[in-house]
Amino acid sequence: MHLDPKVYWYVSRASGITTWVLVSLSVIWGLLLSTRAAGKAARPAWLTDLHRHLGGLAIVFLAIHLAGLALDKTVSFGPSELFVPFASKWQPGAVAWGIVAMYLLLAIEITSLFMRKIPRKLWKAVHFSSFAVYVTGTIHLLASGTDSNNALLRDLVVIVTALVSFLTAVRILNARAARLAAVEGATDDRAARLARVRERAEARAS
Amino acid sequence: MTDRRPRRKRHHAAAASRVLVSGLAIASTLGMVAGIATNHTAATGAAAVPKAATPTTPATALTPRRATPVATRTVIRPAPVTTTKAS
Repeated sequence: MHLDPKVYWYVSRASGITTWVLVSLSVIWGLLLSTRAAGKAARPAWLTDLHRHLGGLAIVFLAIHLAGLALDKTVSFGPSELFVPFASKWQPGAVAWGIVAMYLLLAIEITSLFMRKIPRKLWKAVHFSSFAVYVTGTIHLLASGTDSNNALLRDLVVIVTALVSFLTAVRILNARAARLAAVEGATDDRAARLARVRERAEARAS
Repeated sequence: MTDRRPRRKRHHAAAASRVLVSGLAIASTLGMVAGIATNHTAATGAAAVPKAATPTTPATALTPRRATPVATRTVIRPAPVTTTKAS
């Protein structure tokens, strides 16, 4: 059987696109979970389960993407080109965006695995970088060249980016509303406490 | 809202979603590999394979074969020219 010598290059490109799709879906699932935008149609447990699975699957396809690049002879990628930003001679800027996205994704996955053993604040701070993973990964996808001219892929990027932006806006508005409600609640509590103290003081005086 | 389905059914639904997502990811990757390879062959194949089926020169214009094989022909070389310096 004749194997195309560029097959590793094709595998690397295809798995890279799949990784981006899985990361995007994981971000969308996470936002659906935190905003409850899906309503009663999606159970939080199911959303969480699939959100985690999508993240894990993205790591698997990222590994395939890297293995394809390492085995390919079209663009020679060694360990330094794969893991050090700007070490690659082939499109150093575009590759650097991908390397940054990879490290952030790994940090999110590792901190999520040890979620119960690390402080909640640290986990949350690292988890927020998933937006940066989406942005840097998208830049890498569009800037690395080979498939950026594909109209179907560009349309997909536009649709997914619009969806992520919309859900992020909903998330920000929800968080602001919750903060305002908490502040109002606290103000009401303080006013009630003051009124009670005043009443007691007046009772004592009379 | 609480899900009233039994725990086993909920577990099965979650597992089915995971299998579906994994299957779709693998199938789409393989599909993309096949698509890229096909496109690449279509793009480079035309340039790489010469059009042998359509000859540019007519058959009658081709030079005829030599009657005598090259190995048996006698080669007559000119005698070396010797020059003498004028004293």
